Amino acid sequence: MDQVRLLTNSYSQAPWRKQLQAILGFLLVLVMAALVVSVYLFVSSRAVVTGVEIQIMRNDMVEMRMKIEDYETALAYLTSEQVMKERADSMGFEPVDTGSILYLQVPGYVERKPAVLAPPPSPGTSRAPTLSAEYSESLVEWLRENILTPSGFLIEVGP
Amino acid sequence: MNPGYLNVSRWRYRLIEMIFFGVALIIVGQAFRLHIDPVLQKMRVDSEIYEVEQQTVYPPRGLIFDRWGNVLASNKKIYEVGADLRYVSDQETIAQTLAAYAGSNYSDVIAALNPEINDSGVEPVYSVLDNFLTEEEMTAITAKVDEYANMKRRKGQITPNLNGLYFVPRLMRVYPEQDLASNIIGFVNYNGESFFGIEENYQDLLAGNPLQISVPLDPNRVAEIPEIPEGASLVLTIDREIQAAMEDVLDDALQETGADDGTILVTNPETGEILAMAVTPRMDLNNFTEFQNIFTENKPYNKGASQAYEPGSVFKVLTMAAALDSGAVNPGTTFMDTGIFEIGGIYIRNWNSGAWGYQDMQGCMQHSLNVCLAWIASQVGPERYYDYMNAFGFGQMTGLDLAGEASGRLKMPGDSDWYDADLGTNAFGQGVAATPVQMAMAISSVANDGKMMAPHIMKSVIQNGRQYNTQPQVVGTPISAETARTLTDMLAASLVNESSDALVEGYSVAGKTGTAEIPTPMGYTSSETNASFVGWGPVDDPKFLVYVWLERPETSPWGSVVASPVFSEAVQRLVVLLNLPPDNVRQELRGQQ
Repeated sequence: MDQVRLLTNSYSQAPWRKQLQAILGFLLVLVMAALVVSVYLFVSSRAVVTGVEIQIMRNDMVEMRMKIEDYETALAYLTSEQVMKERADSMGFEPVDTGSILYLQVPGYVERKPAVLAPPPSPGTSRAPTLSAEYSESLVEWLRENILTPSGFLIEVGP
Repeated sequence: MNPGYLNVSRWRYRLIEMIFFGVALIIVGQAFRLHIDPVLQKMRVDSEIYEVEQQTVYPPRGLIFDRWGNVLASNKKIYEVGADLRYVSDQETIAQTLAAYAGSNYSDVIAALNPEINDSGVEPVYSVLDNFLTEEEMTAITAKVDEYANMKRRKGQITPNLNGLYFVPRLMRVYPEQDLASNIIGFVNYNGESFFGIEENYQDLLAGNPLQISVPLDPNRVAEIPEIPEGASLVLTIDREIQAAMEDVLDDALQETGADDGTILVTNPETGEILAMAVTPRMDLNNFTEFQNIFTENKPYNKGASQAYEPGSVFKVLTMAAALDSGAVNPGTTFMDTGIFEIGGIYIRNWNSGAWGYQDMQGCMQHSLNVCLAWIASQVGPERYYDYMNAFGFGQMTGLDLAGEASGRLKMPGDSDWYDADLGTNAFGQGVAATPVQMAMAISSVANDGKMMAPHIMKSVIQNGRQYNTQPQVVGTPISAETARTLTDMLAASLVNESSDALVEGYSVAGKTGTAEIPTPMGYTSSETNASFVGWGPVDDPKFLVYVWLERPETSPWGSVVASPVFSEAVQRLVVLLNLPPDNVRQELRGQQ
């Protein structure tokens, strides 16, 4: 019986080793958990910061659009018919009458065309979403899409 | 080691384990209970409304341009100033500051800061104090807010402050050209409601579609805000310089003739584009609250499109067109004018009650003989005559893209109030009501080789960054090209033979005067007339058609005296702005090509 105990003691690990293994195992789990939490926190904080930046940019965009409208209006006032007429008068210009105009044929003269303020319609113009998926998908969704799906590794290369 | 000690330790460990396990069990159990508790579920659902903010996004209203891209209507940033009543502690300073820097009414501001509790018993937390602050006013008040906020104060001391003030920017419609083309553009009020003209007619296009969106307040839940297309912008066929010139000419004409109101309509007969529509009265669109004072007694906002009147002798152009086209007469047909013509039991007389003897068709038009034209209409016959008038579009709206177009009235055989005599009176423009736009459209067929073009004011629409142009549309071909040219030549010669005041040196024009007595409940009044003139040119290749209408001129009742010179003046200004050389130069240049 003593021999059996001796044999068992010989091949079993020392208690301090067992404790060390348990502690290391626990620490490993702890470090892994901390790692996951820190990655999650990092990604979340970045998402929050980006979200706030987007909100700020959105407000800036609205503000800028209003400013553009304001500038266009200011310009329209500065170039209104009445203002332009007064400026022309102050610079000494006078309205021309039919008898005082000399008409000449100018080769290559291109007649004034009505306003073209935007390009003409073209077929197949589509509106793509402007917000990248990275800003709205969760970490789990990202992992599923990019890591767990085999095609997620593959990136299409243009010709 | 003492075995008894080990047993005690084990027992303690077991107890701690059980406590931890029990606590964990309680936590899990509580979590489960919270998950299924209906009260808490309702609370969770209710709380979701605080996670997002519902916003209605109004796209900026589209701009309105003239044909060359000059802005006729645009938007300006203004501020609504409001107060979060929970943070307001100094009402007097707020009211004084707004009165001093924004011109707000002190009492109104104080009243707005003390709103009544509504029926549901909810105390308001936000109140609008003023609506239309400019950028400068807002900046001045903001500086004042900072100044008060930075004031040093002792503990417990109450100093003046503007706490609780909020500024909300938004866009307001403005009209840089003020009253120019005001009758065409219409206006938008402070609530964004559009009235009259282009603004009302194209409200849906210009305003775009407001969108209700949910904006997550949690930055973790940032969601894509859908792209909200701006209101479409419109490019009009109107030429700002021509419009201004025509308004000048009209204002001068009203002053010289003492007419109540007037209209000058300029169109391109080849396309139906309206280049200018000068109408009185006008108003500065930025002060649209003056509308009630300016347009009294149900006066139409745009008489050019919304006021039908008896046009008088300008209508003879169409009677003659119908007669020539139907073959009832030809330019050489002669008519013995005895000064009186009986039709449907009434007697038609000339404008001077005179007899003009033998006249050919040009003579009838040149001397504007009612008797001759009534006879001509009788030769065409009522059926064919009214078929032609229908084809010219009378009694129907032209489809002009302005709000409030009138259809006028053309009595037809078969109508309860149509009599045989109407054929005779209609022939010289009496007993028929038409708007200047209808007249211009019908007569454009004479100026455009028989093709009648749809009058329109929108040239292109700019939507989602693309410009879509409208195409000229042929409404119909009521007369042949040959008839149109024959009649144009007759009317051009008439003006020359008459040495009309409508003539323009260097330019060949065709046209016709009109003087119509104004119908009243007591019959026609010869003292008050509508004086008109319609003309187009250059005769060999018409580029413009000008319709002049003066209401109740005082200096003379006759269109030939008051309206013809207005046409001439308008055309003199017009040809310069259209870069249209005199006939001889044009023909010479054409010969060189």
